[in-house]
Amino acid sequence: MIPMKKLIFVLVFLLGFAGASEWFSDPISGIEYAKKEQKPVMFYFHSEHCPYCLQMETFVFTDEKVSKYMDKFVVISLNVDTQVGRLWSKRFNVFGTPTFVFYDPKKDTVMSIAFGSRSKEDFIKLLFMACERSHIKKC
Amino acid sequence: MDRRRFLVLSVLGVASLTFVPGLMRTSLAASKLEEDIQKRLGVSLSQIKESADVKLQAPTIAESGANVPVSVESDIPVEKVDSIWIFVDNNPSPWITDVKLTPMNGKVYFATRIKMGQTSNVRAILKLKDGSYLMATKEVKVTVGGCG
Repeated sequence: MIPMKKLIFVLVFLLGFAGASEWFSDPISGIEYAKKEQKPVMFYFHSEHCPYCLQMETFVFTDEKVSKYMDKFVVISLNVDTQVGRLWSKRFNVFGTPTFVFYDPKKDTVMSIAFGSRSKEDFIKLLFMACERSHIKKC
Repeated sequence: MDRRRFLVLSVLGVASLTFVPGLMRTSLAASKLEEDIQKRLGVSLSQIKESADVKLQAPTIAESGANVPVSVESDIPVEKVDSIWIFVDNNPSPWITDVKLTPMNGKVYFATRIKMGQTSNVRAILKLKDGSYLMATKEVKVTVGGCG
């Protein structure tokens, strides 16, 4: 039997993220893709047992408006409990989850870092601010 | 069905769809807390009196639910107090902690940092040695949460 949590995750990914912004679990491919598409990167650091990450995934990322804004970014989703996640979280000094690191792949620089879950409205503001700091003209 | 009856039924339908989920959420949250208090303290929430003798300090708005400073204090002599209990109504598990006091503590005081999943009432309950309970409640609004 599939555990309920896994089922929710699969549903969220299928319903919420399908057709929205590009999601990667491999940072190198994600960054390469972002360079090619000329998009900034949003690293999403999460952990399996953090309810705030689940809250973001269930209620915020699935929102249509949020999804539209996230379209402007290439999302690299990293579980901090994996080896890759740990490596990249060290690189950006990520101390907790969820953490959002907005990264310019062209300049190889961090534009901003935000820790903690947010409401849909606040998350849109965060995305908008990050978008304005990037090279994208229309935010 | 005449027009008046149709309108009345429509209004009732819309009202029930609007208000019932909210009421159900409130009652579910309350029952979870009540269950936890009954299980751990052996009394129902309604039997515990709110009292100004219990001073609960917590921020009105917490920047992060991952780290909310809470302190409980009372001028009641420590010899008369058995333990301090802290509960958060809307947490997945409302019980946060319980601290047994002894006269060696000097006074009734306990401070800690707690995790809150969402905006909720925080309750500090003093269990007195005579078997009675006193409580202080404060609402803490959580805007951002994270796991440290």
